[in-house]
Amino acid sequence: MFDKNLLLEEKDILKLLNYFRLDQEGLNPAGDEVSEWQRERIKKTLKRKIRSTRSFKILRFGSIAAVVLLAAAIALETTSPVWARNIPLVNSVLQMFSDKFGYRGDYAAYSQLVDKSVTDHGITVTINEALADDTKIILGYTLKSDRKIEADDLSLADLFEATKVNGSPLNGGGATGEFTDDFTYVGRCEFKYDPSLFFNKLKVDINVKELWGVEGNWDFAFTVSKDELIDNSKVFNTKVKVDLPDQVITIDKVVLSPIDTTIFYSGVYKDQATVNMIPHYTWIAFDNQGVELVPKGSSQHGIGPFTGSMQFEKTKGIPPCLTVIPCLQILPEEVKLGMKPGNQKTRVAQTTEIPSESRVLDGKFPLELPQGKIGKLIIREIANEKGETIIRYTAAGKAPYHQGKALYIKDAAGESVAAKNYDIRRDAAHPQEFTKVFPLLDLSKGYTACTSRFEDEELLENSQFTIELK
Amino acid sequence: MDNLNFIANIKKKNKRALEFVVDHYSNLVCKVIRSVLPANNCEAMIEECMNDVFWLVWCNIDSFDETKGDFKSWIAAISKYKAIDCRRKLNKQSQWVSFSDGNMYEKISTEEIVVTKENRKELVKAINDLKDEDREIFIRRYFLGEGIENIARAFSVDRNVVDKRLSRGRQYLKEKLVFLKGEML
Repeated sequence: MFDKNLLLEEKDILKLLNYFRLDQEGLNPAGDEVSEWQRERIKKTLKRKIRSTRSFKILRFGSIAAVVLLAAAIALETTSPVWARNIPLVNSVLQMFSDKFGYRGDYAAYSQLVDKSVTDHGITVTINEALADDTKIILGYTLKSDRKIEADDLSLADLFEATKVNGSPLNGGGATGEFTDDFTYVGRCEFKYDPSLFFNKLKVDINVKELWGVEGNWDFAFTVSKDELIDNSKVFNTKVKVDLPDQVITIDKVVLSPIDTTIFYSGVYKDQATVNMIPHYTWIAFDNQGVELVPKGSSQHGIGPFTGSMQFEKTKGIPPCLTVIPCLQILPEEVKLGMKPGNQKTRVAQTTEIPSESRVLDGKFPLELPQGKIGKLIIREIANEKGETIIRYTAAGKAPYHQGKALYIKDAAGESVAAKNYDIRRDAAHPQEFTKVFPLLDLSKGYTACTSRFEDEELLENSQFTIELK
Repeated sequence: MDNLNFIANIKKKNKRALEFVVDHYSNLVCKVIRSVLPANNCEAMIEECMNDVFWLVWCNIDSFDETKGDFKSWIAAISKYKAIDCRRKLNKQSQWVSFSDGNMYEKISTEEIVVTKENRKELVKAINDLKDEDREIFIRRYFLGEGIENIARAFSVDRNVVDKRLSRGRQYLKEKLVFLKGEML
């Protein structure tokens, strides 16, 4: 456009825009009301931006002497993490979460010890360990407060909002964690960053300015090497084309690393008018033995041509191929419209009733729970052992792990009972058999086992594809 | 905070004044952005764009000139300007930047562009010096990407009139630029 070509500065253009006269008639008079909560969110974002800009200015206005001092301080504060290879980190936060979700990754062996703590206003933030590969950085962290932490106050993504890798902001990601007591929260976060072809060491700067409404300074600077993880990863460049109902994608590469399996892809929508920023698909991936890989996450960028990646658990060795069945998510329209994707830190909570099947747990086994066209769950046994209730079951069907995850227990009042652990696969030799552990349940009190009929998704078996890894 | 003092307060970097702008102009900003961005499910992009607009206002309030126009029109223009930027990022393949009536860029050589880089202020002055209507038509067309038909409708004139004025504006600026180039040489 004109301004780009003639390189006018934005300030010039903004001055010229004073000559614009608003044509109210050209605007749609109805609708488009910005809700109160949306306005509040915009204000919050702007305030945060003002704060971060102000602190930047303070640095810029410092004298040369101050800059020298600052450089010295940064040099002192920048630690090189202890490389933990061959000396697995004891109590690795990242390993704990990997095991919890059943990802099988060797996080402890490849994590680098950071172990830096900063305390301000009675809150101590500790970055325990870090790990990085070509596209993402993963941090294990601990938050400790001298007063009780209210769960509702946690906004974990905000915590790392101002983090920079090699001077650039992060590209989105997520965080999870759990309380170890009322005052301590342990978590892991994983973020995408702009990869550099030139640096195998990532310079990480974390600047936390606010925690639970308390303003302060929790600043960290350290480096993370991605060498070891990359050296022990296998990269397979592929050019598999996949024709999906509304898009055509190309599988660009598959990376098998000691911590996970990532399939990178690019694609285009067949009809730009159908572009929806919410991902339509999940992928169900199997190794060459037909064992379904535990999914870990996905990301997609771009609205015209797009790129994305699907992450799964670490594979057992190097399989000769992976097979993927795309799974189309059929969300009700009101849910699609209600979700706020993209830059928003926390998705608006959405609840939708997905048709389900339930059976009362009356002590008679096997107990079958039909799952629509996809298959069924068969509860073989429920046992109360060592203060826990353990359900052992089999998933028979097209996507056993996917199906196995969809077992829920409800009490007589219809309330869901939270499981104690996310990891449901315990027997590598029998990948269709699962175990789910709940807090001790009095099975005479009318609990029911429930599962989805999977009417909200459709396995696109006709679009199934195989990626040769050679 | 009220309509009379909010601009002065933004200049003093009072955050409450920015909150006032968000409270009172969000609907307008949102409407303008929606009129530019594709209608389908771009909620996150719209909100990001709204954030950018308010941020531009906060950082560049000194660019607002009460003697030339009103704040409502100015923030609406910024909204349109940022929305075009967002749309360009959204869809790099779109034909958004191609203008059927000829692009000024094509009419100026690279050498002349180098000259204009050096003479940014003079170029702005040259645009400022255009006749009132010509200038607004020029800004709407080249900075806010408005269609000829739209501009014609807004000014209640035939589209040929808009074409002529744009052509006249381009010619005027080209003469100025050539003159500046001569100065440089």
